[in-house]
Amino acid sequence: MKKFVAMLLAALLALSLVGANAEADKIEIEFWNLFGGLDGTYMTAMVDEFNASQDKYFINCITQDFGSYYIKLKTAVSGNEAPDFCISHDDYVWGLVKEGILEPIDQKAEELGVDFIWDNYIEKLDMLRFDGTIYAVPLDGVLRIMHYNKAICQAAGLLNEDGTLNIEPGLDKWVEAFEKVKAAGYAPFVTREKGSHPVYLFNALYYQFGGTQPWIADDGSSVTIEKEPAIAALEAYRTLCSYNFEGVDSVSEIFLEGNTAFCYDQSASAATYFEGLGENYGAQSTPQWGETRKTAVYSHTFVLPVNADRTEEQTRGALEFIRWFGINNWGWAACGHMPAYKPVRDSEEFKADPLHALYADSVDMPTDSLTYGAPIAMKGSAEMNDPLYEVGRGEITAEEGYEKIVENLEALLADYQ
Amino acid sequence: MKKKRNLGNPVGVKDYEGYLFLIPLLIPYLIFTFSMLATSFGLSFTNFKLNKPLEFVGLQNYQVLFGDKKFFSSLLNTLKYVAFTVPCMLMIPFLLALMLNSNNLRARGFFRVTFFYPQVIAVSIITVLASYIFQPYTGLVNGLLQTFRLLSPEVEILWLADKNLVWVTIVIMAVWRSAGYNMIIYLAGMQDIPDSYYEAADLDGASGLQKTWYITLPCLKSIHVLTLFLQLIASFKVFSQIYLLTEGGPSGATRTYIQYLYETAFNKWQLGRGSAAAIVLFLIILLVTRVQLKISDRFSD
Amino acid sequence: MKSKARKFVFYFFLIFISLIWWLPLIWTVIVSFKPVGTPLANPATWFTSANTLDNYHYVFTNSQSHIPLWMFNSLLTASVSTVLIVILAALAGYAFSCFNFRGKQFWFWVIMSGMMIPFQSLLIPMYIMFNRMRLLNTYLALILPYLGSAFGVILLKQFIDTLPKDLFDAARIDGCSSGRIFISLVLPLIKPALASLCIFTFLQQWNDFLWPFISITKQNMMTIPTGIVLFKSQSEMDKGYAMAANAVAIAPVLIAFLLFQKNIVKGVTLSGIKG
Repeated sequence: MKKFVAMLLAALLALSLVGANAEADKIEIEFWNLFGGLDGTYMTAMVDEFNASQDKYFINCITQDFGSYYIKLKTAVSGNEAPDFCISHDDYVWGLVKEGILEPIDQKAEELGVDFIWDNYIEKLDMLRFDGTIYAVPLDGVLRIMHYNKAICQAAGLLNEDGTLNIEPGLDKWVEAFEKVKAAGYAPFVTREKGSHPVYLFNALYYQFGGTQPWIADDGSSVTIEKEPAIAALEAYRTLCSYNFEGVDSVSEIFLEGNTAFCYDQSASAATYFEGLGENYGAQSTPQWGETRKTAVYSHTFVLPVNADRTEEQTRGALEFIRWFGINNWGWAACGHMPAYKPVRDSEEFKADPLHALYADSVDMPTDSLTYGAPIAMKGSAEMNDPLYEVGRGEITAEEGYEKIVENLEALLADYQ
Repeated sequence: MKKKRNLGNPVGVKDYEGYLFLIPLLIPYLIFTFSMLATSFGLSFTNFKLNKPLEFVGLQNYQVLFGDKKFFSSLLNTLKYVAFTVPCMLMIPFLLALMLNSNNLRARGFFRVTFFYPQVIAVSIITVLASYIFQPYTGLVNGLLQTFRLLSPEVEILWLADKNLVWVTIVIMAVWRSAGYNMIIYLAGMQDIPDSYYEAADLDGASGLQKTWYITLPCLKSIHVLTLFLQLIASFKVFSQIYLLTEGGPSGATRTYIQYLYETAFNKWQLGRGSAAAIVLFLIILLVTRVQLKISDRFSD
Repeated sequence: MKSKARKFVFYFFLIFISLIWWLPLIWTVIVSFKPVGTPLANPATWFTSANTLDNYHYVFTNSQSHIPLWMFNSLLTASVSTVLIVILAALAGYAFSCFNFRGKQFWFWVIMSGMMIPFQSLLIPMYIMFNRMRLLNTYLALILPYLGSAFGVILLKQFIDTLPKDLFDAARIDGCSSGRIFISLVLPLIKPALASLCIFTFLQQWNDFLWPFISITKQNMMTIPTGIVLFKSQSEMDKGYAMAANAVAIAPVLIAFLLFQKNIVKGVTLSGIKG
């Protein structure tokens, strides 16, 4: 028995040594990301491609748990154990800069002579500048779009001959459409009421119903969310939720089962839905429920954490990778995200992709809808989600919801003063 | 009145001998736990932020805490959890152990494994499982209830989205996961009760229920005290199994005290205030466990 | 006749609860073999829908996953820390149960107090200390912080308290030293308690997440729970991957537990205190 255990241990050790991959003569650069599952597969493929494309740098890609990712990042920076570069959500960048976790990217790039063409990145970059300095480079635009089941829409008389929807803009028109679906014996609509999803839906509605100011002033000094658009958006949010499957998280499964007409979900799910529903699958950009056509987008970004041990060559390598990632952005956007590097939108691959074509017009929706205020109102944060949940379930009115949101955001800002 | 010499050790045992056996544990404990506890206490009076100079702020962190509505609502949620789980975690394992301890039980080993195996699985895995299982429309529980016609196909039970029902779900998950742990302790205790006690009771014609009530229960007194003590502390410190399942939702209904602490310290990066919250919890647990032990002592006399 | 019926009801009830207890595990295994989007709420579909090995294939061939290495790390650190924790706890439990010394109450509550503060609040001071000691990303970081476990001390003290003290006095009269009594009398008598403490501690160490996650940043030093998150995803579309990864993470401990189960039963039933 003892012998057996010893042999087992030895075998495990041997296996593990074979598994450890280091390429001796390359400069190793540590890169943390938080992509699990399918996103993770795409990211690993991109890193592998970069490593194979040149022989100076080796990017060591390490996936960390997203649940405690930022704690780990902050503690690692303070202990000088930070990675050479890593991923951050756009809405965390502001806080990380304030806490002294990040280094400016554009200055480093200029020092080291890595040539970025900043104008080629999506407008998002404007909000990742602090005092005119760039701290984060977006790698995508994560979109929410309306997926639909053509067979059901056909049965409810909502489909044009070319497979697009014949629903006019306006919340009342969409309510009519939902009622028609119900009359045809199907479930109308499914969306998530947990995580970052409610905030994005609300954000799109807020700008659609006339919001012009971000929720929080860009310098983080005050809450600037406007009352009337916010209340109109909360009422619309309530209306949409009243057609939703109550208390559900497994949105994809429900939509794939094929008894639900509409599914408001991220664009990266398109490929899976298309695979599941086949020719019955359709999609369009976020519908116009309010007065204007607007959508909400967020980004994953590359950032440089403070790291005294990082050599100049490692910094250069990290920046080279970030630049390469922009130019080769299609390899990442192919999984369904909006490309962050504008020239990619003119590329053949992008234009030829049948799924991206369905919602490519999201890009043309006015850019002010892309901004997110001083992004410390983190997407899944309780400050926004708790009131939204209660409004969505009809437990409180839109006015009360608005007041709670303002109260919560003010409390949040107080902690950052 | 103070006894100077005789500490009541057996003849020939030096008074310092206890320390010889205690020190191997004491050294790592003092370095790795107690000094951290002391640091945490100290930090609760500062505006500690990792990369900024330390500043003494007196009782400000405590003042902010006591002025925060969320502090009280999260404390209340934790108290709810304690009130719901502690009785369940004593009674259900006791009943399970009783069943497994019955004479001539076949496949006792199998049943022991059955109730204990969830302990083997990490909390993070269990919560993922639970969120799939308790899902409406696609989940296992509603699906099974509907399959066996215990629930009409049009009705969905909102195990996770209903502010009250979510507590039932949390308790079910906690019992499923941890009942086996206390069961094993009870079982070990039951095996130590001499058979002669039961044989004597049989001669007196006692029923099974009477034997349980008058022999098994009282004989396990020290285990009841121990289990209650440990369970109280564990329940007060509940965090990840709720946080990973509900994220504190729906709408903050299940935000526990530690989640509040965690968010204050790490999401808001108010480490000083987070330490203050930890000290408050520490004092609460200390108080509750002392009271509990006092009461247990009184009952045992 | 009546007792037979009662027996039947008893076994029926016990088997019914057992089934409930096993269901989540069965469900995990089933989901891990199903392609994305298979509806599985109705048990009939478990057997009729198609199976696939894709999820497992993904878990083992992903270029970032080093499952054997992580298993080795987990096994090594969990075993070493378990052995040390149990030895130290037994010594301290013996000290608290069988000796009187100055400051006994004081030290007992000092040790107890370690259990009452949530680990989350010790995270940052702990990290700073391990960073200063240059111990981050080492096996020691996964062993040292747990050594002062109060839980084991209370558990074993409670068990040693129940042992007949006359036995020790008799041994002392025969000339046994305190150390001798500990090794030849106390340890064998508390074997069942030691066995359960070993198992609890090992499982706790094996499944521990937050501290290993924060203190280990290098991939080749990760443990199973911190490494396996690679397959955890925010999208429920990747349920199959997550379930396959979960099954892989559960399997070794479950098997080990089933193997050791016999020893525990023996330990408990042959306990020296009885009779």
